[in-house]
Amino acid sequence: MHEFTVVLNLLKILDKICEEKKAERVLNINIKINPYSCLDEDNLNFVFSSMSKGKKIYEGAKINVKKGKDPLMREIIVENIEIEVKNGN
Amino acid sequence: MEIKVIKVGASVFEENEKIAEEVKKFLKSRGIISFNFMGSPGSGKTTILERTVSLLKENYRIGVIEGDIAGSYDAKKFEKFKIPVVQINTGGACHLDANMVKSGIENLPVKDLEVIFVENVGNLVCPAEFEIGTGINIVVVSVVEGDDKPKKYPLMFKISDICIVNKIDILEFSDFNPEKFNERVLSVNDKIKIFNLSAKTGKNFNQWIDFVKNSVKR
Repeated sequence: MHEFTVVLNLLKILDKICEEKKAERVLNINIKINPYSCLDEDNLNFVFSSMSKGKKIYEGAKINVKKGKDPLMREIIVENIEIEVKNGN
Repeated sequence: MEIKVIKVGASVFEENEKIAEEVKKFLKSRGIISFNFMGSPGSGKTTILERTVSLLKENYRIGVIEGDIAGSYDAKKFEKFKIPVVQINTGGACHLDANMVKSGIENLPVKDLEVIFVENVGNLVCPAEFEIGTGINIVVVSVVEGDDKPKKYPLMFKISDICIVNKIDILEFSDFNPEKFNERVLSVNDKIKIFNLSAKTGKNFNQWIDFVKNSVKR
């Protein structure tokens, strides 16, 4: 239900990294969530594509959700992202 | 073009967690015991709080933070008790977050308080995913909701310290099986403490009140 909040914060994190790393495009975003979390991967991707519309760098990016082992973990961790950069960057 | 994998390791709710930690520290430094009431709409969170406040207000200094998507209907119910109440409207959000609770606390006369009750937005899903900095997490379930809830919303039961089963006065009119329910709750969280009561009639309510009293150190 709060995918909007999640994606809003996620975009803030991604914007910062992409600028630092001079990313041309984001391909994959790998996140880890609580094993009991109700967040849904399809839903997250839908919200992400709606909220990042118009930003070329995120076009076609895919959020992959992995469920962690710790049932008390309440965070949503961005483990890593796969980006495309110009050669030499 | 080349493809790179960038290690991130950042938490999406980092800001929320930071504020929740601040809230927690602040309450601890003042010796304030705080409770976060979660549960479905209509499970009886407000009614439990009303009865609790009415029984404790003479001897304890209590503040209440009411979280709702809209309106101040719940906060108004506490006016009769003449205790400080803050209504937070989430403006559509399905849960309270730490920042909302922080501003709620800032609007309470904290130096005069020993106990703060926070009533979260009625919802068994989202409030469980947001740390708000309060001490004791409570999930309220009423018997009419059915005994399958721990199986369907495990995270809520996992992160709760207390489970209050409310409306036991109408148990006979429902299909709720208390034994099955307890078994299901404990299979998700074996440390949870369960209270069976009726906030409307007051049945078994003293057990809960004793628990609150014991939680408040003096």
